[in-house]
Amino acid sequence: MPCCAFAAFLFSQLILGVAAVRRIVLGARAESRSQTNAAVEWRLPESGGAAAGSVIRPTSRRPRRLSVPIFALAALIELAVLCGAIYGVRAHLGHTHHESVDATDTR
Amino acid sequence: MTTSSQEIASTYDLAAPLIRKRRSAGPITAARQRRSALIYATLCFVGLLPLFTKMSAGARAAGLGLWFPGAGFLAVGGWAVLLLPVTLVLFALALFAWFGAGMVVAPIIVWIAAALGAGSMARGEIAAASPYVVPALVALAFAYVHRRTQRLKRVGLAKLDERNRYLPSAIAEVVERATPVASAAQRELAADDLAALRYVLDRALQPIGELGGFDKIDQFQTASLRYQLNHLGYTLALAQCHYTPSFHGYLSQAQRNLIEQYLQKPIWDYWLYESAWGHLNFTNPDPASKDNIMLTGWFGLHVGMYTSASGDRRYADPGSLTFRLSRHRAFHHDLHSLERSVLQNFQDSEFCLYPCEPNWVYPICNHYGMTSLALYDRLFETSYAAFTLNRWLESLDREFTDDSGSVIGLRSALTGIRFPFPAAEAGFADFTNCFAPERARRMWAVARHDIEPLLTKDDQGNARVTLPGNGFDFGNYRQGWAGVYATILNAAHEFGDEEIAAAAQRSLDRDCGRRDDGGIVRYTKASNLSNTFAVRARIVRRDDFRNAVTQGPSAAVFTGPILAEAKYPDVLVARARSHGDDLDLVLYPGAQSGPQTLRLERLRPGAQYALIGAGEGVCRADETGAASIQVDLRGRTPVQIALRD
Repeated sequence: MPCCAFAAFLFSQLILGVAAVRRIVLGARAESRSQTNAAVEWRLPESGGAAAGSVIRPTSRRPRRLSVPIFALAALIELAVLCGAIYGVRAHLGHTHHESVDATDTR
Repeated sequence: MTTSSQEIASTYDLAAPLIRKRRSAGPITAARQRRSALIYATLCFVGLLPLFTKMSAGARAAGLGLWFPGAGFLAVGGWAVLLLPVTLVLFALALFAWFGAGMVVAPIIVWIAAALGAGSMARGEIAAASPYVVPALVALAFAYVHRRTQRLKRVGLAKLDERNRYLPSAIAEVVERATPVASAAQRELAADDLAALRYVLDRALQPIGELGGFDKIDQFQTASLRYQLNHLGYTLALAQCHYTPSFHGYLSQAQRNLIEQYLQKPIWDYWLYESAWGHLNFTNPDPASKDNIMLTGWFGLHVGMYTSASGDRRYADPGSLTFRLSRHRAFHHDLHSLERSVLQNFQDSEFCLYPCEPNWVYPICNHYGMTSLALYDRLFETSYAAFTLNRWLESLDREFTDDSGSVIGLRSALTGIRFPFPAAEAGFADFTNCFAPERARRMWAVARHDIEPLLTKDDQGNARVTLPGNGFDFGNYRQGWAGVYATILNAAHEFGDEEIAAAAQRSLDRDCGRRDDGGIVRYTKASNLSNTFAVRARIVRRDDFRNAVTQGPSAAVFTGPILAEAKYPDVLVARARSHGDDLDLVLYPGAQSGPQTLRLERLRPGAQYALIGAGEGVCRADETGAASIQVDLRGRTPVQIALRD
């Protein structure tokens, strides 16, 4: 059924790894707590119950929750690697320059 | 005249009643793999050039770094060797970004950056052993992969032989066990089903922009809101199609809400990023253009099922499905353009099947796409599915089926590499039932054969499904079997196997934290996605998905009287069906017993109708064909509205 299954599978390996560590450290209570999904406890408020035929309009946009989306995390990592690479190339070019100066001096 | 997609599929499948034996890799897959191997061989050759030409230590380290990510650090030697595992972890994360969000550039950047980094760190001479160690490691890795591939191939082929041996009798058993298709007269939601359906209605009847009761984790992976919205929509459309086709009111409103929710930018704007870092397309992030079948295929089916079940064709109007990016920019679509996108991508793709995230082809999403075409063909008398189905099925067999005859989870369109992931027949069979029923029956026979050993007895001696391990819920990335139980339940119902369906339902109720309170059934140890799928799986019966796609409700419900308004959740509708001039209702009080007002429409203007059931009497339709009636709801309340002579 689910799309992107392999990515979820990879992700699951990380999550299950963390869960295993947590289970070892915190015991069985941590596991049972983690298995209950708070989202499904939600209930449509009485006032928000839709009478038939009522026109439902968009609400004003709320600020998005402060979370760290996976793509942002991945992008940050890539950015860090890219910065490291640029730094490395610059350092390398500088090093090459010094080497050639040294070689001239030796001669 | 349009050609039925089923006729085409049957012609193709009748030629091979058993699973075909094929080469392990199809021709396109093999070509992509050869291209990948050639590119890799070139990289290795280029990587060796600095060694042979006695270039600087930096160039030699960078060159070795082209053999695999971080290999250059072995050439640098010393403490730099510790950067190899760091690079491999980063590379794994980059691969994850590629898998998960189509970020093609991520692994390339990590690989090249690591090679350049190693090159910049090398001083004087590289580690003497590194020119031998790096190729040796690569050779070892290749030997391991080759050996594993060959072993899996042998196991797969043995499984294929076993399957082809048992399939004739297994298919016969599937046919024998299948309950008859329920007639329209028998269709009525039980009180438990209504309580389960309230879980879905509660979420769907929220103001646009509010998503209470949804799992909000990320918008790239399987927990994304778009999949939750789609499955809520499928469930309501199936309920409307088979149980309450003559009830519009809050049921149609709920489905339209879900469609409108889907058009909100936070739901689909993941494509801005994926088209940028996956297609390197920074100018036209139209979500229904190239690739992205996880949107067009799923959403097309969602909108199509609403259109079919309700008869409401508003989403066929130009611009009715507009994805608005900003005040100044929007992508104007409708059901036609969504389905044209699916068809066009099928035609343009060498694999026929095409990617979700850039470069990743998921056969399951392509099943959604093909099903959406089959539904669209019926609604608008086109031949999109018939036009492409033969090629699609052949490609599925050749490029996306493993040695055992099972459809694989995913393949990289770019490299041709298949990544191992269990994809079960039960998950594909109900879709296949919509456009290739013979093949679907074969898939369910295989699934049933695999499920049977998992049937055990509970403490009361009733059959249940017992699965090993803790499971995984794709809707929230936590442990749990709810999604798998629901998948088995759904497929078992679709193929009329009530024994396995009852066992799966029992496991769901026992293992997944079933809670019944406030008139709502839900599973606390399951994601919203799995909860929703469990509702759908609970209410469908033999061939319901297939018939919703290939037939839809009977013609009479689109002309006869409808229940147009009822208050939610005070009035729960278990049955609403017109046979032409009448309206047959079964209602339950959602909160308290007592009188409720209902509004009827599409009555004959000025005609008198008899009310039989709760609050018997007579009502007269006004000049628009509408009337309001009062009924006294106490438990299960049948109400019949019949035209008086």
